[in-house]
Amino acid sequence: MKNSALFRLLVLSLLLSLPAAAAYAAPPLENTAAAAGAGHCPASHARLPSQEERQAIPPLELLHCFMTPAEIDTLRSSIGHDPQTTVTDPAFDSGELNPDGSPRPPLSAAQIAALTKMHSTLDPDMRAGAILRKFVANSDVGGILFGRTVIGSASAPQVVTTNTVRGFVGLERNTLGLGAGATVGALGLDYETTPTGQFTDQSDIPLHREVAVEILQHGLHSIRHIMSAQGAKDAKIPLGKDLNDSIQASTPSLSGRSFEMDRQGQGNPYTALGISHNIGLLTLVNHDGDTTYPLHLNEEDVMTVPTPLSVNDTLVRRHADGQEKVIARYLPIPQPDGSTANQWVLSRNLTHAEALYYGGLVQQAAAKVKAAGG
Amino acid sequence: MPLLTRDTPGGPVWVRPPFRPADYTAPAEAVHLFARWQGDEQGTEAILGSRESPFQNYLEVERTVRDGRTWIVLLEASREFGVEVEVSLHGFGQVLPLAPERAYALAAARDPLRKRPVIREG
Repeated sequence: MKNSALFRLLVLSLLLSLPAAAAYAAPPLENTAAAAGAGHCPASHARLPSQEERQAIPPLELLHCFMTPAEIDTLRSSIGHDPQTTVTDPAFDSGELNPDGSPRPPLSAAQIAALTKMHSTLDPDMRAGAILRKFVANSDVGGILFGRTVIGSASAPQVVTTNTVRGFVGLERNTLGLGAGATVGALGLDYETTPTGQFTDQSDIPLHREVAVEILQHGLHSIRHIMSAQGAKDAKIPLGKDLNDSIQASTPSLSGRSFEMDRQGQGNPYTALGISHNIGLLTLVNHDGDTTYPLHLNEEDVMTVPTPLSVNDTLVRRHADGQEKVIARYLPIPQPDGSTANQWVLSRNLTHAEALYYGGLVQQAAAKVKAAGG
Repeated sequence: MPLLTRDTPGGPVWVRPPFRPADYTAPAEAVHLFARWQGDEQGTEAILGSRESPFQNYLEVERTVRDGRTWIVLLEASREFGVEVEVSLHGFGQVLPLAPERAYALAAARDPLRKRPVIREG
């Protein structure tokens, strides 16, 4: 009966005792309690934050500790620039263009220097024990909770387990305190092109998307994962060729911490700067205008090898107003045969409507897996 | 081997220097990264097709069937070394570095597709 759909549903329906809403608030740098870090910030002269505090300090605030306002302005100006002018393969030509087809200007030397300094400042916090967020589409939540899902084409479906974190990831601090819409904007999840999507829907304004109704109805989900030493080593900053070449040649501390990943497609929100940002996501507050989400400085990573989920990882739902709620926790569960297996366990603090929603997603995932022969 | 840029009266061109095996040899760490995905839950096609894959800088340039097994030749787009992977339902099957002579030939075959003229030296 191990791993059977019935047993998984039974476990999920137990709604074991779990902590409810999570508040991962970042302490303001100037207000943090007893100094754990020695010394002062080289740029702002505020107290230097400790390693632990850095995990909960928004990137911009942390950068002000190490970079001058002018350097940060230069950093901000790099968005929309082309970090892959020396790429020669035609597969990447359209990555050098804006969505409207206009060419992106090359990065200046000052911008490359500012980006290098930013990554040198932020990257050391991707370490064992780092708090990670992996944002996922709501359509994937059922398969995540169930532990298995179906990928591939309809003619060649493949059942796979969902017990790893893979792809683009970032530290939790990158989107701390943001609402669901601002999070989608900060992470550059406006790549969908269908009328309605998991993260964004089409808008009336060409080349612009708006936050998906799906997210407004059911929230934006993420896996909150505590990084292992190996996982931290395998998480690397994806950079366009020019920037990657420069960083690898000039910055020993980032040697082996980044890899070349050039941008394909002019409609791709991937910046190739190691910073995620939207192409043109309309804000929720100005829903009838053309205001897009501003740059929210951060450092993105890609798992160059998938990393396994850890016990006590949580699945978190974020609402438009930024409130978060723990939906499920990854826990070791005794199996009928006496063994133990790690599984997602739904929080007992779910509302009736939430329990129905997540139970439905799990049932759908189970049915898909069964239909695919899993 | 990344192409070199040269300014000419007719505008900038790219130059492919004379072949040297070291310039087109797959680094051990690149081959090792593919090998670390052996046995993954996802299949070769899903991994290579994902927009979040760390292999986004590789281009599929050839696909062959040998002894009933499917092989994909991948060319790293900038450094132009090659890796051959066996298609598997679980990550990659066998992973082999491509001979530098073959990587050079495959890279040079893409020269007519590039947006600037490529002058081949040597």
